[in-house]
Amino acid sequence: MFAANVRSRVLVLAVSSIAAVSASAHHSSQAEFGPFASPTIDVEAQIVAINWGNPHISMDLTITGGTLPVGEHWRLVSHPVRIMEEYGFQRGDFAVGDSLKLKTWLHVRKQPLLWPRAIQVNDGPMRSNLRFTDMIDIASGVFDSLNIVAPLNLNGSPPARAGEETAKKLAEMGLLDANGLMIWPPPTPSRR
Amino acid sequence: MKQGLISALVAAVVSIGAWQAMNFARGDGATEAAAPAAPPPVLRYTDELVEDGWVARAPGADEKPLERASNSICYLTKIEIKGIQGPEDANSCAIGIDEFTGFWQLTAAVGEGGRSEVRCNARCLVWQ
Repeated sequence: MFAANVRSRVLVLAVSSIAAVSASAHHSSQAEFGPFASPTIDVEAQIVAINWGNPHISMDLTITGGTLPVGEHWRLVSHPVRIMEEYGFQRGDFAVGDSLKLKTWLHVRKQPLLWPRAIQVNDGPMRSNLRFTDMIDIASGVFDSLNIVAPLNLNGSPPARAGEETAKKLAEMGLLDANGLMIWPPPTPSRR
Repeated sequence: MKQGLISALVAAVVSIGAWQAMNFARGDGATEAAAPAAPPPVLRYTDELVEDGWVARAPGADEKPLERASNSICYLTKIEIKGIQGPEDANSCAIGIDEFTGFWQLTAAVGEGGRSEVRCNARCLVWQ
């Protein structure tokens, strides 16, 4: 009985698989880790291995604290090398054995992947790893309270990917220039 | 022709996976006679990854975890290669167990010197 069930399922699986072969689609990292504005969790981990290469950098981590169970093995994934460098991160900023504190998103399909919203190495500053989330947090007035250091490429970035509402709010705050690009740090008020 | 071959390969891999699952459920005949039959495993198969594993126009490897290897078997559902420039363009789609995470892992790779594009995807048969 069970065997017959399995055989019929195999047939369905094979047909489904053939259909899947021809399927093709492109999705962004938001589809894998949620929207830029979705909440993050705090995780502490130790670096076990570093892959500083394209198409994106990755690091193998052993969890040491925070929201995830201690001792579990997870993989941090992030931008391509060039984009990491535009954010201000260099390969030399990380070493096997370093401690990380992360504000991070989890993979929406429960795969053991982390996409960091911000990264702190050892006792260094908590540095942003996603400028569009910075824009959202700046527009909503919570960025300062997060104690996250803005990335090098925030200034001059187009805000479109942060969303229409965020762009509108940033403009109202005087944080977009004549070309609609982000101004950061905020211009200091002129003294009379 | 290529798609037909891939389809046949996928069907073969799925059949082997199901056969293994069947054997797992059937167990030893003698034990079955002496003890109440264990409930059959619940089988499901996953969707393809939300985003393909892919590498484009430069050497590199994109690795994506699939499912916990202890109770699943995975199979390729997509191999797409574009823009081959010459014999130095060596591309691959592969599935293997990542010993670090304990998950099956899909790897899309363009070898050193390559400038083409490769996209891969996979699904998994999972039993619980």
